[in-house]
Amino acid sequence: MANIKRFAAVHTKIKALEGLLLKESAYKDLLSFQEPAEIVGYLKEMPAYEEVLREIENYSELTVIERQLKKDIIEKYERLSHYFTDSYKKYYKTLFMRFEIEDIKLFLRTYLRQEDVAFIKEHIGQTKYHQVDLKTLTQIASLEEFIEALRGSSYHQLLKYYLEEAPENMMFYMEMSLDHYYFKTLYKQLSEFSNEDRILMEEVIGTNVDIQNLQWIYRGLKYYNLSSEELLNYTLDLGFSIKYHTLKELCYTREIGLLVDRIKKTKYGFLFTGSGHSELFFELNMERYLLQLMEALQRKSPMTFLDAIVYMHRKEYEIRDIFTLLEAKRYHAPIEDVKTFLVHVVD
Amino acid sequence: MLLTRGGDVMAVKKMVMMNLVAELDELDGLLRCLVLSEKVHIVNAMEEIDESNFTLSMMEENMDEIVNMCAIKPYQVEKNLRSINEKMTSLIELMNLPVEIRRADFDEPYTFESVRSKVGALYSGMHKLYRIRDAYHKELDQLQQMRVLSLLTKVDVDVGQLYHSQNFHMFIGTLSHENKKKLSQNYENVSAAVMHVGHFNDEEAILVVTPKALKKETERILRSVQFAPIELMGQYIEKPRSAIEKINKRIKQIEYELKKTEKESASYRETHGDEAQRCYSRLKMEETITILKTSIATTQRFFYFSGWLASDEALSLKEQLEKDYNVIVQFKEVNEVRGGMKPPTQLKNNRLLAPFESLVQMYGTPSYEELDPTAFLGISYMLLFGAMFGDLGQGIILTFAGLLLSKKDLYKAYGQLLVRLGMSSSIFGFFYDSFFGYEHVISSFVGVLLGAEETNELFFIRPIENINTILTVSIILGIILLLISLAYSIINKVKAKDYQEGLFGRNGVSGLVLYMSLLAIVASKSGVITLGTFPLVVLSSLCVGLIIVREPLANFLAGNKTLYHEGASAYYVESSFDILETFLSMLSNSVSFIRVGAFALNHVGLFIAFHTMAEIIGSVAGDISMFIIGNILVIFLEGLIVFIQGLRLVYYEMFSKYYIGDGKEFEAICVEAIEKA
Repeated sequence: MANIKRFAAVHTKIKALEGLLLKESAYKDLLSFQEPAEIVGYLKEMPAYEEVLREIENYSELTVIERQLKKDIIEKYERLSHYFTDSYKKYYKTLFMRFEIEDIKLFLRTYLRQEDVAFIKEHIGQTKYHQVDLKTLTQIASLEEFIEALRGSSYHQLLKYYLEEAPENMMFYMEMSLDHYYFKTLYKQLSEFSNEDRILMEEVIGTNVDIQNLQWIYRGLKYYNLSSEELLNYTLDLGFSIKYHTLKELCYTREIGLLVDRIKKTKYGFLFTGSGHSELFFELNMERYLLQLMEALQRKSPMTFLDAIVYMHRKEYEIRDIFTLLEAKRYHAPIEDVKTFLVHVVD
Repeated sequence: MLLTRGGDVMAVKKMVMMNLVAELDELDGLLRCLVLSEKVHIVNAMEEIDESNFTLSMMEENMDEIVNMCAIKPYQVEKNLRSINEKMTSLIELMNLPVEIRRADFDEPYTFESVRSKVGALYSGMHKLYRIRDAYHKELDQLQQMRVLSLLTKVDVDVGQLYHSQNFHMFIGTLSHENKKKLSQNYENVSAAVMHVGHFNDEEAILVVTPKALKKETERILRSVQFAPIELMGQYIEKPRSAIEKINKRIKQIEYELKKTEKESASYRETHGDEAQRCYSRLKMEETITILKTSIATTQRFFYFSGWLASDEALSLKEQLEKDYNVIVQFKEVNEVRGGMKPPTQLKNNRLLAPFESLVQMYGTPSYEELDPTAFLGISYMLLFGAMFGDLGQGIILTFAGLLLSKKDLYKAYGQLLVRLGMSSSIFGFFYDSFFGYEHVISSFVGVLLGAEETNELFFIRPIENINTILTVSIILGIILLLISLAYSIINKVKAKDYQEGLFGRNGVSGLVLYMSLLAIVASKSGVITLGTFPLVVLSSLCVGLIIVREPLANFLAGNKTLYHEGASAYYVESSFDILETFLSMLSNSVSFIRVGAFALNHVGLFIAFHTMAEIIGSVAGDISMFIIGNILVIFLEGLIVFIQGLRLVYYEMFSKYYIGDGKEFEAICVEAIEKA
């Protein structure tokens, strides 16, 4: 009963927003087009994108479109925050951290590639809830100074630790450290939720953590050849179905083929399915799975915090798909191939 | 141009535009003087010149300035205050000086360059002291860390032997409990001997010994569990017990030294504090001036400055400026200023009503042309609040709470507001014969005092015993307030030359006459006055007609060709619905004031409930506790509700009729946080 009171308003709002998401028929139309320009033209007719894409004239500038769309979802999400109260509001705000983390990663990558961060200024999706005003940091010349400038935020400590690593490994560690911090923070804050929401969200976050751990172990072994001890120590012990014992076993598997076989035996075997290059599908499989999982949970328990989470995922995956479509159309990829790369499953 | 020396009595202060020209050498001094006067609202001089408002009279003596105006441009701000600001901030912090700006610091003339060098000198002097202090603090931190050795006193072996060993490397340090668990779960695979030695600074301390060959690997593992190694200081690597003794001794010594430097910096503060403070004031002034400079215009030799100020202060400021500087000051009346530049509004009210300005500002600043509604709002709000929340005892409490609150600078306006509301509440409470919810207390007291019981029944009116009177009086009060609002509305609209609404509109003369005749009809029907209703009906019908045709009528009278700004049919449909709404709102606005009486009753009603509860409890303790709880609840809950309802009445029923409030507030240029003159 309490949840009806708590989520009635946001539920209504989200239902309205979900009505603006692309329908199955729209995906079919988008797939049938030949040129990126047709896609943009089509989207400009849709109420959800009319406003955002109005000023776009040059269709080849994908980065501009990307920036616009990102800005738009941040604005949408920020507006949604007014519908939450207390611990839910706090939690909702914490979710914005991933935009901040994404942008910090962008900084890190730019530094490691020894490029000028001034160029990424426009790509930064500053939100109201960021700890750091990243836009002001785009004059900083070196990675060390950048991390120093983050002092006072929670990110400083997380990154400083890995500055001594070899440059080729540094990014891997730092990304992991940031991702872990995000999931850990989200998990910790669940304790303030009502029982029903907590249990639901623990499954969602726990599943995320499981996949994150598997990805870490897999990449850590395959590309960086990290020691088993290191792999294990850096895993997050907050997983939903893969617990310490299994993790340890996986970490101490030193042969990549064997590791994949072992992962395939867990609940998350599907991650490595898909034709050709399996890593490409890892991400896609994960996204499809998470969405399915959350939608199933949502059907079982309607009117929970999950509503917002599901909407956000749908929206972001939709934007990803639009991007895949734009890129694919630029290179005139065959429709059947493009379909396999979309998060949204088109029949 | 006529300027009066005396102050206006009108509540919106009369403004004049000041245009000022002087040589660039005098720029800093003049701006300082203007800032300190706190009387001028700055206007961008470039805009002013562009609108050709900035005119100098053609006189021989002004020749240079006028010729120069041809090559005019905005002032280029060149001073970079960043580094000096950083130094100043750390100076204030290190010297622990109060952050305040003293007026006396501007008495003597000075140049900013002298301030800059002074700050530099003070900073380096102070910094030398602090470098020593920082070094001590750093060593102190390290020593505190070294105390981890105290965990090893039980074994008391020579740490040095292990530390300097040829084949092994030793780490000592801390990690979180969670990570320590992680590490211990996997001990069998760790390439080192790990010993948990105890708790240190809320973390787990461990001692790790690893073969030199495996040092790199061990380091990686330790890093993966966020191990924070403690750097051992060479001179203390020996048997833990004696090391700890040495460390403690050194800590004591450092603490002593720190006290000494503390004294030195205190004496530095003693000798140089005043100087630093003066620099601070002057730096803040410079910051303000730098901002102002973006609004002035310059040529090679002169600068031009424009701003609004109250007309009664104009002459004295001019005299003051002309006394100290070689400057041309000219004033211009509001109606002489071209280009739609509206003067800002500075409100001026007497001490009783001034706090109500904050309530007016909350709704909107009156425009320069509008009547200042503060007086009307203040009086009506006090009346309404008192009538709704009439209680002598609680009113006194509100007054005292307000007095306390107004001591704090931040809440000063609210405190003063509360004092006035509390006093009004006390006065009404006296006549309501209500003291902390107890009725008859005041009347019997007055009776005892005067010795005549019957007479004082005449001036006490207890709401609960006179329900009908209270409700009727509140509606009558409302009607009076509405009539005054309509009068304000007519004046405001005529002043703004909006004759259409001012004369024929529903909040104009027609509306006022219609409202009064409707009231008269009601009064004569109910037999309060004897008056034939027929002429009244005719009068009100005439008013209704005027309101309906107000736009074409006004346009016709003004001689405009186009009578309607939209289609005539659309206009009349809209206009007739407008009439319907006018009737409805006249009724609802008047009846709305019934809440004033209702809240007066409600106040007593709540107390009756508490008295009943007290009786049910039936003990003295119950009585007292109910008295306290009841009063607290009523003050906070009902006080808040009445505060809001009163605000609703003044804002919604009255302001919406006559007040627009789209003015710009007068903001005198000044240094922020400067002490009051």
